[in-house]
Amino acid sequence: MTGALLDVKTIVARAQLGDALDDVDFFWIGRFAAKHGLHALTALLEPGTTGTSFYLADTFDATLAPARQAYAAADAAWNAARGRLAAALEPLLGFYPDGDEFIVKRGAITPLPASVRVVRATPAYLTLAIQPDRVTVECEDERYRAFGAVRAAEAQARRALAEVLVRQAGSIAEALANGERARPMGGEGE
Amino acid sequence: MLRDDARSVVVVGTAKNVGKTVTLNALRAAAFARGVLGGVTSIGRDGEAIDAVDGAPKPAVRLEPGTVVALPRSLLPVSPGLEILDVGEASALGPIVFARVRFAMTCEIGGPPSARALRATIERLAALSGGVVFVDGAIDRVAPLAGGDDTIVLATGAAYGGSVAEIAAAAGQTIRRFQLPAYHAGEREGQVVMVRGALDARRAQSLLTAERAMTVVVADPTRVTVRGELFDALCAHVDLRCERPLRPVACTTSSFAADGSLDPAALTTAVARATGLPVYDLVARLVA
Repeated sequence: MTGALLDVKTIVARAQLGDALDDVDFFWIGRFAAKHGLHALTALLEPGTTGTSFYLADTFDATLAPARQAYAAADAAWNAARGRLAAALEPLLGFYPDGDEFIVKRGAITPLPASVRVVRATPAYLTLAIQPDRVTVECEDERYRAFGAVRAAEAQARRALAEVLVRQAGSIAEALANGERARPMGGEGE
Repeated sequence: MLRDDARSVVVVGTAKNVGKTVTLNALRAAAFARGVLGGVTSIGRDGEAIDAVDGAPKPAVRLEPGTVVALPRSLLPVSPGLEILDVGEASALGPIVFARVRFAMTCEIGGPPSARALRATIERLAALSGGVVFVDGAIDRVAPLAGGDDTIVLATGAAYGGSVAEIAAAAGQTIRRFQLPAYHAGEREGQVVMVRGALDARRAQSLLTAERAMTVVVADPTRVTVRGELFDALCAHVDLRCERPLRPVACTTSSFAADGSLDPAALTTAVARATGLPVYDLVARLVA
């Protein structure tokens, strides 16, 4: 939509300097490659391209799929652990506490179970939140570890793509130069 | 709120920390439960862990897989990666990026910087997501929603300041302003005054001196900048209408504020009475 906001020349220069590129950079490079018939670049990004969109697909790096599967499993386990705590509280509260915080009238539940903590107290009401138990904390720790693995795998895949992009810098510069010659005054930037 | 013809649901707050993000999350959770993913954006910046202005903790915006977001590039989470769909308008935090969420996440959201850009962003999000667009809005930037198929939810609460009655009165007046009836050319008899630009205190005072009954027409409700007793007096004295109406459909209340809390049931009931709309306290699970 707004070509001038992203600049292919700057993306390539950043890659040449060793800067980390992100998926918006690859999206923009993909559009540029398709427009200018840079088949090697188009083929490089093709596994992540659907129509005009770009996604860092699992096929870009062998570590992506297992890392993402582990993260999805850890996330589901963490949600399930939180869900079990919430479900256990439901008969006591009279509702399913699906939000981060919930309110009960003071004195409505005495004593308060160990699975909740008081966030705020007023003379008439208590704002409560679920207190994570050992299992939930372990699930959260595992989810955090799995997230770190996804982050590392994605960074590795982006680095590899950026290295190939650097090797294609000559063809990109040529396409840019041709575009400059062909572009009418006031045309959309790349 | 999730009517078939609603293009977007825009949550606006009467003040900071009145539960706008809690409302947005609850609306999206309800939509998600009905199989509606839709799009999400904000006007300005929101969803940050700590309020950028007052340093108070804030709830994060939850994004389920399949949701399409429009947010400034610098707020786009790097991992887990999102599917990049398009790049839109410029903003202070980088160009607005349209992206589809692949893994559930919570994040800070921002959006286009201007009312005009918000309209374009909603249209693009609706097209990309094929569903309703949820907007963390701003009360002073709803003008582009006028005359459209967008619904507005007003969040108010103790953080606005004052008593239950004062908060309810302010919410009631905001909703009355948003609900100005539509003007259709030729339908009103008598004098019709078309106000170009803002209907401010000076113009309002001048209209109040008119002896004959008249219809006063503004472009949209946001052009009425008078508040309080002057607004009430103006509404009593003239038939105030607008060319492009807004569509407020509900309110939410939050009974907590850093400097004191109010009775949630009393607040919900008072706001419902003042606005005539359904009112929800999403934390206390109250409806009025």
